[in-house]
Amino acid sequence: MAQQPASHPLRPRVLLTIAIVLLLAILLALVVVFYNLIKPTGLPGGTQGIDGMVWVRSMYGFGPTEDEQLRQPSSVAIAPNGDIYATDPMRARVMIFRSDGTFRRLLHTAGGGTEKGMFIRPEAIDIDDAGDVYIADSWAGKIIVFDSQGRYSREWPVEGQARGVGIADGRVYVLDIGRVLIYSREGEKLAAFGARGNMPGQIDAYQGITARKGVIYVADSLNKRLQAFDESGSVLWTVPGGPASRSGPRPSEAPTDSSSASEAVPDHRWDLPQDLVFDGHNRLVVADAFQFELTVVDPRSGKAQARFGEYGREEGQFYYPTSIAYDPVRDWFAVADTNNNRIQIVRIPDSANPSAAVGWRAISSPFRYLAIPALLLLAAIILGLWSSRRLWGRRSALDGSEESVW
Amino acid sequence: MAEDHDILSEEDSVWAEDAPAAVDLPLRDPLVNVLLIVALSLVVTLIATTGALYVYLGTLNKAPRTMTERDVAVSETLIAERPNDVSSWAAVAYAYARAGRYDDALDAVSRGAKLDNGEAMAVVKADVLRSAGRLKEAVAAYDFAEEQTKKLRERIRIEQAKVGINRDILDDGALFQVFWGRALAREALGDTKGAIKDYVLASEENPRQSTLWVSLGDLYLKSDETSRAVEAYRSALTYTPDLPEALDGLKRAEEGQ
Repeated sequence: MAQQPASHPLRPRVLLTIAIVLLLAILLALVVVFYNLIKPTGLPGGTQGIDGMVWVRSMYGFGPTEDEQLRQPSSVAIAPNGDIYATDPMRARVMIFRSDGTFRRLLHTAGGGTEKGMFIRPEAIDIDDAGDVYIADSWAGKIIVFDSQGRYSREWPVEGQARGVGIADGRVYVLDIGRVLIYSREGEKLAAFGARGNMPGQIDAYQGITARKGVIYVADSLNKRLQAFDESGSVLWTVPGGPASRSGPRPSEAPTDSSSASEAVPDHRWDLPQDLVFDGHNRLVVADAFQFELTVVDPRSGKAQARFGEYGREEGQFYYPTSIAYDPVRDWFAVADTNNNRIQIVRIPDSANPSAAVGWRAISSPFRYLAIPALLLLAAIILGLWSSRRLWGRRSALDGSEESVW
Repeated sequence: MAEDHDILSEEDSVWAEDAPAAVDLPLRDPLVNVLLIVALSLVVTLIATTGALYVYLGTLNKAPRTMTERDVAVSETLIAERPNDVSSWAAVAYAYARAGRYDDALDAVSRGAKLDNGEAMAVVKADVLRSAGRLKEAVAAYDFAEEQTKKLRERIRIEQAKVGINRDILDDGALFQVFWGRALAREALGDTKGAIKDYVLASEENPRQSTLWVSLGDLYLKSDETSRAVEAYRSALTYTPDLPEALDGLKRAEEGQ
């Protein structure tokens, strides 16, 4: 027969149960406080916009005053470690954010200037695999390079205006208004082609340039078209804007087979394609400032396949999106939403293999802190169950031995 | 399981050897032990959560994360810099209203009204009340704002006439804002006729607002005035030729005809 506890058995049970309930209530209250701190004020009803584009977060600056915020950011780039760089040209500085949206630091050059290591108007930015940051300064007419720690590394002058910069295949592609200039990473000029104009092969652009496997893609903004060149400057394709219509099909209506892309959006209208980037599925994604959209394009033909986004000031909407960068690890895009004075992080469907990014998506969520109490509670429950099993085991063993004695 | 069994067997034998001494001690209820472990785990969880919260708060730099937060931050900075500027109070009132902080918004309105109780703050107050869902109060506030705005216009006209200026008052959009705001409030109250009247007044003040024409067209359609609805949608398309809502409305109206 089991020995009875010395005191009344119900009293400690009741007291402990009350204590646990109270502790759980306090924990719940803490989680609610945490959630409200993390959840930004003024989010629209859902973060999923039209056509499946998902808003992740916005970054405005590093403080509440206007001086501490971005003012018409013109370009954005993502470093290999996920840091997001945004040019703030009017204040001659670059803001660096961590991938979770918190501010890391400023890259500025003590007021700007034409001296070495200083910039006047950092117009465009890109980052190479080593984390070196290349900034095109359109007013100073140079490319200036900083290392991943923000230390000045090198610079070189550019003929004309340095409006756009793209790093690919170990080369630095610079876009003047009407020309493409190709440099080594150290600034040695390798090639140049193009002329300003609106004929096929001519360029009249702001900043959008990228390259892959020897093909150079240019967002020919003022000509309202995209163009692809080989390294000698020969035009591979030119896709002019279609008739004046915004009624092309949304992705849900578009054919899924990319080979029929030419039929997907036959009348796509380019209004001001400003920048372009490759996603994880080797598709070009173009930011069109005057259409307030991101457009997915087949890089083989230049045909538009899908469109995402709409005009507005709310999170997930755009007001002159002028630059775009892609993070293949986290499978998201950083968009310089220029007239909304912010950088937005968004995801669009089919930009990467989702399973590869699930872990990173979870870790990079601002709500990850909420997992801490949940994980601890889970550990407590497991520990409690394990202990009870042991205790009940002991108890049974003891009861057995006592019964045998009796 | 096999390991557990081994451990239990081993403990069992040890327990059995020490049984006389153990039996002398009062045994604690196993359930109490379990509850104690859970309670202690919860205490540890609470301490860890509080620590995480503290660390998180330490990393916050009060940078806005949404447009609403940005508007609030920027307008609060404006208030700090220019506390005697009515437009700063109007800006912060609108920002608070967008953030759902209606009491703060109305407080900002009353502070602004202390500086200048003119038509500007009257319109802001009406807009804030409408945002807060206090629609009847909003309509009354718009009536007051209309009266104030018309008085101001008349006063300016007389002053201009005194110095020999005879021209139309430069439209500052205040009346347009009053009529459109009141139309929205009345529409939300279900007062379709009143809303139509205000939309018409607003369109007379500023006919270039295509979304206003769409709203008017929708109300005409609701009132079975299809020819007027068609006219309103066509007016919208005059200013924004590919406005989807207007195209859709026109299609529905023409089908109705």
